[in-house]
Amino acid sequence: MVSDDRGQLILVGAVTIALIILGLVLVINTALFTQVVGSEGTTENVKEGGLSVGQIGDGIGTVVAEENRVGYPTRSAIETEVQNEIDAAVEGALRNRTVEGSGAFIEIRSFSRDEPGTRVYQSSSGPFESGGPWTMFSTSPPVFHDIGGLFVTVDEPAGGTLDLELSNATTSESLTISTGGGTVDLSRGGPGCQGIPATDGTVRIDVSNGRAYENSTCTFSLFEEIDGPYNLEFSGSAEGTYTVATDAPSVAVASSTDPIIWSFEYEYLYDGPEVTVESDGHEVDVYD
Amino acid sequence: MADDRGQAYTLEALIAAILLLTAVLFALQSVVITPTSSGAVDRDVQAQLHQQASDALATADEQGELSQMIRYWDCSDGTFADDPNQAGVFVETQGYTNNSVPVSHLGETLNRSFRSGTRYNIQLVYANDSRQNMTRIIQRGSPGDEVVTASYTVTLTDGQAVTNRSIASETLGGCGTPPIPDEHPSSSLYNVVEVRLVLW
Repeated sequence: MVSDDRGQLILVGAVTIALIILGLVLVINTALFTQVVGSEGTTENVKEGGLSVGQIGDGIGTVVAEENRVGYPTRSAIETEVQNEIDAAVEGALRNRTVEGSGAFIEIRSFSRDEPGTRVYQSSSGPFESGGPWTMFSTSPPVFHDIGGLFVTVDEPAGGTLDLELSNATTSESLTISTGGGTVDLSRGGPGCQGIPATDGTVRIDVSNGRAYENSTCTFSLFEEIDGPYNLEFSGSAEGTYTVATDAPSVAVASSTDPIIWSFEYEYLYDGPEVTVESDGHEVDVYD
Repeated sequence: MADDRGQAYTLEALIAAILLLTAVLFALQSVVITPTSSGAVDRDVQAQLHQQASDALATADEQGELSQMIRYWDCSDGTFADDPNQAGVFVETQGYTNNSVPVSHLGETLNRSFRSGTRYNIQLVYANDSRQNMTRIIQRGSPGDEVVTASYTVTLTDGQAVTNRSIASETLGGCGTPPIPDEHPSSSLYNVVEVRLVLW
């Protein structure tokens, strides 16, 4: 009987120890999970207000494109003007934006032009390059270069069509712009690109980005459909103005041309709360 | 002795019951407690959401959509222009009434990128007389506790065109009453605008 009692006591003791261990595991387990959930924080934000490298380059690139558009006799003059803009306004504006966003400090340490280019444009409304056909580069022998920043403004009341043919060494893609009847139709894009209403008699078409400003639903693709380098041909009787940039140092005879900076290089210092970066030279294509 | 044994049986039964109950409780708690049990969004989910938002903005910028959206002005009244095609009427305090933007693809990209139930606001933040101004483009409500914010900075210059369809060829520098001020009148730089995408 005594041995039966002892067995029972051992059993009870074992169960009690198991219970204590289980309880401890439960307490520790709860504490661990609480810690994890607590560190998640219900009000924690993942916020990044700083500028990425690309955005600094984009900012400078926008200013270079602006100075290219203004037109200077030499690329050196554009470079000087952009440097003045960086010193006077761009660096400070980007820095303010970064400091407001993330507390980081940026400094644009250097800017220099890299690849030269040419801007081709027609600033007075009329048949595009006298009705064409006009090709940017020689077709015999065929010459191809990078092309970007193609922007066309068509005069709707003048009527007619404009055919833009973008070609490379093996294939070509075209966009036909038809005007008349108060609207403009594009041969590419969805329903939004048909019957685009003219504003003050014009429709503005950002061909490089595939958009018509006069209808926010109109999008189309031309440059995405074909790999560069390219040649570009204008033909048709429609009237208007255009501007386009290329990395070629010169083009076939055109209405007007200006030297431009096609690409540039810059260095920067990024001093953020968690990281400091002193960059090597970053090259940026202005019209990419 | 018989009394002692009865007492021991009772004690044993009690402890066994507690043991079982504790085990059941433990098992239940193990199932219920997850990293999101307090209502917080998992840190990984937040990071993923932030990456998606950043990618959507970067893609939109690559296609010129952010700049086009920022320049959609009504130069006669100093606000953003109404867009009869998709975004609707622009109201100063709440943005576009159709909860869309006056540019193709960006709204679709955002709606496609984020799971249903994720809402977002789009705001523009820019300098105005050395202060920070904020304009709401899309305002779908006040964010909850679990906010994820991504932003992309776009630089504007004087010679860029106003993209509103009712204004042909007018440039930012030539806009009579612009909604975003020219912070650098003596420079070709116009302003630097942060496009802020707030998700919750």
